[in-house]
Amino acid sequence: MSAQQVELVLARLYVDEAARAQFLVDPLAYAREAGLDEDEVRQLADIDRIGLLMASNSFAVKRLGYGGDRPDRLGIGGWRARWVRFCSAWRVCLRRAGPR
Amino acid sequence: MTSDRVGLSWRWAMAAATLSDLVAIDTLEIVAEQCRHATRREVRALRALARERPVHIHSLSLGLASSLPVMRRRIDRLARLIDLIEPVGWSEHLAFVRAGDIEIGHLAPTPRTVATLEGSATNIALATRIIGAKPAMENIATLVDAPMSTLSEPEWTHRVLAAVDCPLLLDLHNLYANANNFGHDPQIMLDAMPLERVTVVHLSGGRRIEEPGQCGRSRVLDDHKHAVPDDVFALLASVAARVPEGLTVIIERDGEYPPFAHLLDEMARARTALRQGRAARLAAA
Repeated sequence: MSAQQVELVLARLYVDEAARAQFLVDPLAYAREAGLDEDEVRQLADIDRIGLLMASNSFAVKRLGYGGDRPDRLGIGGWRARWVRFCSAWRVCLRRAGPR
Repeated sequence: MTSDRVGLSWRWAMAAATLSDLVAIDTLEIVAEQCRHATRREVRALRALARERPVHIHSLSLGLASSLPVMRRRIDRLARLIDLIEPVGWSEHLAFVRAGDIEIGHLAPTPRTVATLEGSATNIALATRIIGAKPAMENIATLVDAPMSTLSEPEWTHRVLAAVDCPLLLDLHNLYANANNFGHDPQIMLDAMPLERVTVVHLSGGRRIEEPGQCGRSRVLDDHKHAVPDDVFALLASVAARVPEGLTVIIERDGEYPPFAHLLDEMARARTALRQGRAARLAAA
């Protein structure tokens, strides 16, 4: 299996809770079903399982809301800024259109 | 004579305090993803800030350290931001963030193999060509030991950076966390990293979180929400003793913001650590 496929398998384990549960029950079967060769099957089965769980939890928290320190990333502040820009653009359009 | 600089990560929540005490701050680092929804006024403000102080742009979402090709439109978006703000440099991470249509959500440890080495070099070279400047590549903190690896972190880091001739952004708390989490000595791990390539250093803090189902065992989570540990300042002095060129040191804080005076204190401690390291280097010469 290519390195790219290995990264795909790992990414799925990090984000897909069901896939991760299936892997933890029978890592060898999961890895073989994912198409890994026998060497990779053994390597994946040796994964740091505690770390896998901890990292997956951490990634899930990040996916929920990485917006840095802008809690209203697309909340009121963001929508207000968009509304102000829309109004400004509308006024420009009206001025260009001229008086009726 | 080295020209070390000590500064802070730019955070909107600390904007007023940062600007009030700008005289005490040599440099600032802006996270590219925090500018994604910035208004034109905010971007203009950052551009003006870049004229007051040297500014670095720090990107999180390219996922360059991967055997999978980087998304071209993400590099283009970053390039547009860099063109607007005109920083003195930019940086990214030795991590992958996505695979196919799966977005991991943050920086995941790349399997350290020859294949990912080659893929990373290709991605970094492409980003360099589009943006017009080499990135400083940062070592990441991870709660899971990079799976299916055949190379150690220092060895893989050496080889990736040598392949693209890029500088290293050495995050000392990340190194400290990984050393603690995976049973290594932080100083030995530091000595094995390509210190000759270090141009920028990150300092931050974290906390210990319990391992699930493992009573009494814990790992260091690099959450950027706590004070920089004493051990990390000691590692900074060690870096300063080994690296002859000037260093840019950035204190990172992403939440649980303390009174700004605490961050100024951390910057002062960083300056002290740099001086101690430089003095040790001169004494050894």
